[in-house]
Amino acid sequence: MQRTGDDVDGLGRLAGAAEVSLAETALAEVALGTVRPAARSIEAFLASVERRAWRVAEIALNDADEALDAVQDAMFRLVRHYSAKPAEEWPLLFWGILRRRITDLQRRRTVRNRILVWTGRARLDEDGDQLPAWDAPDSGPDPARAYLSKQALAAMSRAVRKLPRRQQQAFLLRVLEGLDVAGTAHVMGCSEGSVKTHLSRALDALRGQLEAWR
Amino acid sequence: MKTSPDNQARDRNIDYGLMQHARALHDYACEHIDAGTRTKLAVARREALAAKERRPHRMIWLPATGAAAACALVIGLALFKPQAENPAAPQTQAVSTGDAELPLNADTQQFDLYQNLDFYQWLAQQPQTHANPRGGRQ
Repeated sequence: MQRTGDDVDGLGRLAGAAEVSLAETALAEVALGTVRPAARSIEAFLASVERRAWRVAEIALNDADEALDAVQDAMFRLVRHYSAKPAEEWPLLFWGILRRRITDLQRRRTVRNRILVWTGRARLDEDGDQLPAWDAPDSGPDPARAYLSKQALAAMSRAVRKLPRRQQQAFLLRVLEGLDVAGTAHVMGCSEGSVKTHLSRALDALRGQLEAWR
Repeated sequence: MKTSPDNQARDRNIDYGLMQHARALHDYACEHIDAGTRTKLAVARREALAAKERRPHRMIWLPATGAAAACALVIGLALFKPQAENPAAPQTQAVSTGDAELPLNADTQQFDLYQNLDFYQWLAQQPQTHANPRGGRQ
């Protein structure tokens, strides 16, 4: 996205604003053009969202199979309980279900890891993260770019996973999925002010790692 | 903590680049998911939609199954209740354990007879030539 002169002039007016406003202003530029049209059927909606949902779940859970389980469970629950709702409500309902499912899995894993550490059977290799599932490097038009993107995504995923849970959710929903503040607040079950605070703190934590993603 | 306008402008630039790059990376990654995962996601979607179509049939059979189970329970209770409330057999069994020689249907009036059975057998074997107490012959 090309920056304009208005952005530069606007920096002066932002001089006394809080960091929350800075983050939101920057995000407003990134978020332009991310509004997606409502799907006509529940099947079309699921087909349009399943890949992004799986990728978000994989970043949060660092496990492809658990991410698939979480997405599948969210699909089941949306179809079973909310398919009669208006199509405009499906995205927030779906992301809300998926967020709760991911949180459940994260908590369950935390308990399991504590038990394993207590019994002395845990694997404590922090750098043993698996690279995300990806197409074979020679199947794309530019294998070098695919490889670099793969490495960059792995670095970003590691950085996001180190965030506290609420900051992680705010970053995934607001930045990666492009939900607006009100929608993110609805999905996270908190106020819009809390969303801004969580996102601002997440960006503070991630700011120093930007170079690793490039 | 207050930061200077220059620092805020720098942070804003970093945030802008960070979020733009993260979004682009995420979009690219979502478009390049491996074929196996894409297939699994499609299967999961179809199963979720199929489960919705199966659900009404389950809802129809649920009350019928419950009613059938309730009927079977009532019939079972009606059949087994009389036997459970009949105390005769256990009481007879309890009396019979008092003396192994007594028959199962012995009641209390004949109890003395069976206890002095030897005496009555001896009495029956005696010749019937005894004098009548009133002086007559039998």
